[in-house]
Amino acid sequence: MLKFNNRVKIKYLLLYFFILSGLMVRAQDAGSPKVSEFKPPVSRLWINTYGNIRISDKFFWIAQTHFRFQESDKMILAGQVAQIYNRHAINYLFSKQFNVSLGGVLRLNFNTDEILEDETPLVPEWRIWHEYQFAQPLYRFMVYHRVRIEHRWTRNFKDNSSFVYRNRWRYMLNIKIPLNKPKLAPGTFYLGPEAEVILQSGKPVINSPLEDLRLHTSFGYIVKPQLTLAAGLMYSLGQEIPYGELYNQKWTLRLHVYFSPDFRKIENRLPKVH
Amino acid sequence: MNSPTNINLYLTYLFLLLISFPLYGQTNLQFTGPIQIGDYQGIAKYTYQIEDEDTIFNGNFSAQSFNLNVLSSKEKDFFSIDGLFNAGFPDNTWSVRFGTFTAEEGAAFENYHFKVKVSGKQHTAIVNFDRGKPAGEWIHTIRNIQHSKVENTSYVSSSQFEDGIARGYLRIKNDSLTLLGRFLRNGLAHDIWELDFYKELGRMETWVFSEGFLEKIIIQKDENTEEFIIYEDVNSQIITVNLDHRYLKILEVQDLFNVKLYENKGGKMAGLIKKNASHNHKVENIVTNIHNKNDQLAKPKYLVKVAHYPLDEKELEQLDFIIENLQNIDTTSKSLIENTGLNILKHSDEEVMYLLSALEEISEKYILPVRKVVNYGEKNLLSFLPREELRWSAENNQASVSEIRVDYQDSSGLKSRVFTGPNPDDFDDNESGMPYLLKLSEYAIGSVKAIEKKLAKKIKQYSIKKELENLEKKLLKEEDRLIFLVDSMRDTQTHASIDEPLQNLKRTAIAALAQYATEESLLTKPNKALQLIECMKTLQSLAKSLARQPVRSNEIQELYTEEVWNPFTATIMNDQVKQRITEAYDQVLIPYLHQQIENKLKCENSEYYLNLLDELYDKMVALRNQDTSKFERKLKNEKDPLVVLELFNLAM
Repeated sequence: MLKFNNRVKIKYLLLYFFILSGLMVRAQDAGSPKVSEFKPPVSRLWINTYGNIRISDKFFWIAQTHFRFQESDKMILAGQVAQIYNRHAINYLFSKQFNVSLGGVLRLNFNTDEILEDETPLVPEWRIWHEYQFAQPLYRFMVYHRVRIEHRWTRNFKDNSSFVYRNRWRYMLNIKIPLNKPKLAPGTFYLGPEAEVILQSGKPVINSPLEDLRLHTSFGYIVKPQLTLAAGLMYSLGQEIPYGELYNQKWTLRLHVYFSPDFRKIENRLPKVH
Repeated sequence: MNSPTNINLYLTYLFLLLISFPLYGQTNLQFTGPIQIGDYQGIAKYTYQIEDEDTIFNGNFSAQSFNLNVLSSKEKDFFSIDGLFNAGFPDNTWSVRFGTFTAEEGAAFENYHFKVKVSGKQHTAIVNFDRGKPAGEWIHTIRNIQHSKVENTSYVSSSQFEDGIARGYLRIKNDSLTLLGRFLRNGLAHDIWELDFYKELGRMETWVFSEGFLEKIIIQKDENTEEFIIYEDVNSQIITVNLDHRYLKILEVQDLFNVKLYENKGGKMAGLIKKNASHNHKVENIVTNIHNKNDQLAKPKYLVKVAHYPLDEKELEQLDFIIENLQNIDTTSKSLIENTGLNILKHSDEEVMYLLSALEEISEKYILPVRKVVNYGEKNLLSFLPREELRWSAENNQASVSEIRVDYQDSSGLKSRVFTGPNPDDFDDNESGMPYLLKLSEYAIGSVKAIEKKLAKKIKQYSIKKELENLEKKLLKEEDRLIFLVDSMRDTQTHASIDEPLQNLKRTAIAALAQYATEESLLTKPNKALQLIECMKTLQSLAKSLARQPVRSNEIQELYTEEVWNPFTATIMNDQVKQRITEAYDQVLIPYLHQQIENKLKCENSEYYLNLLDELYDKMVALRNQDTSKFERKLKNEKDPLVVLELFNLAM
């Protein structure tokens, strides 16, 4: 059924997000400043690995590790480690057009500011996430709609601070455009523009529901079905908690390695010849 | 009553009865019935006695041959004989009639008989015997019969015999000639024998005998006189023979009488003598056929003398060898001269023409003296042949007897060569007579065998050539097929990678053919042709294999391609598995093999490359489903085709 009503669903989701964000903005109307403030952009470097390890016809084990750096006083992009992601999930391939994932994340957040006395340099963040991805071919392109919902427990760097629960609501529109081949295949260079809105909710979220708006375009190369490399530049914009008028801006250079090994090969069972 | 005279008479009767009793001890029996006398079949009536279970004719004998189909208009032979046997021997007067008649149309039936008039010829012989030996007069008369009446007498001969031997005169008269010949009391022909051409004035033939020796023959015609000298001096042994056709043959054998020349000059006496002898022989033949003890019968003889050269034992032995050699020569020559293959070959091979001509020269001319001897031997005339003079005549101007001049015709005209047989020096030309003839026959057989050997080689070569011709036709057909195949492939193939290797297949084929053309040995050529045919076939297969290579590469590509789900693009992608193997195949081995075929191809290695391409393909198919991780590791970064081939277990 998802095959034919993806578009309808996406439209509803978008509508839902906009209404929600509008309500939130209105709720904080009274005491908030008159104008928003855009912080100077911060430069970052993300090195992300995405592993989709096939474990059966329909199931994949998702194993992603992201290394995220950001500028320091001394160096742009990769002056310091910001986060290390370790994301795992089980992905179920419902059909070619739709798949879902459920799993957990351990994110290590490094204190990128000056570490005060009562602060710790590194705190963990726990998440449970689930994702619904729709894929559809369009002309030579592939168009993806990704809805990801994350349930996160975070704490700040203050010693003995307690974990705070929040939800994240993410929608990403992503297109992959093959450049040198008629369709995505091994040996294809492709361009992948994407836009993602990340909204958040939870007790501490009062006037800053837009955690991030990410506009990212990557340039990738499909080495083989099991390996794709890509690099992209992302501009992102998001409100700060608890000061919703403050907008963080970031320019991120992203490097991606996608791999999807399949360990089910049957030839292991056959006699060896060499 | 009984007077003494009567008593004497009785006693005389008794005495006569007693002495004649033994004569009647054997009973005369009569026979009437069918009989076969020589070629004649008829009814006979005769008196005979049985003695020791043998039939002994005694008394009258008459026989007549008949033809039941007497009314048919075909010519029929008639025969009748009447005579008397005395104790098994012909005796007294005999009348023998031989006729050849044709029945005329219009048979009459009178008094219960068919009456048929006949026309033809009747030969009547009235001959006399005295206890089996010709004695008294022998007369032969030939009459022409027309409508059952004697029209004329065309021949009469008469001679007197005593004890089987002619004495006095021989008289013969036919419709144009009269012969009168004289014999001495001892029976030898003597003096002048005259043949009178009474219808031709001034024509006369005379044979001059002197006590049995014919000295000369003189033929006079229109004032021309031809004289043939026969015996002048006789230094050899002498023998008495019958004056008949054999006598004339002996004169011929002794080179004293040339019958053709004689007849050309108008000689007729020989003919009459022969005719008379044959008439006598005819009668004698009939009588001896009745008389089953013919060896005891004396034949009518007209005595003449001839030179005689009897053969000793050694010569008879040599004659046996000569006969054997001649038979051998004839059999061998015949089989070679009549050999179809050689007869075809001689038109294209001068040597064959020469050898066959030499063979003909040897068997027809060179061994003529040998043939003569054998021929006379067969006719019992050899002892009359003066053999010392028999030699291979030098009419062909050969330098020695061992050198045989051979004239033969080939495409460029008449040619002449001298043939020399094996061991010519062994041929001692100084010998004569039978030893010489034996040597001649031995040299001839050696020569014939040598020729046979050479021709056998030729005929073998000819069969090889024929075989080769077929093989070469096949070879050219295969080459054409290859060229056509390559050209059509080049027209339809778009793969440049196989264009040059394909071209080289043609070049290889042409080079192999050119190499083959320089081969000269007929012994090895058929094998080479066979190998080359195989090579052409292999090259054709290789061409097909090369043309199939792009398809094969695609097949391998497909075989090593898996459809894989790419979770990041959410698409199905073709995945090349075991890429090191496919790369080794596509990028190392196939280009290497193409390059080898382009530069190193020969007939000798064509099958190797063909097999290698096939085996490699099979290997690629097999490897797809095998665990090749270790193999793939070994292939890593390996670009040396020879090492890769070794890793594929397909080392050169």
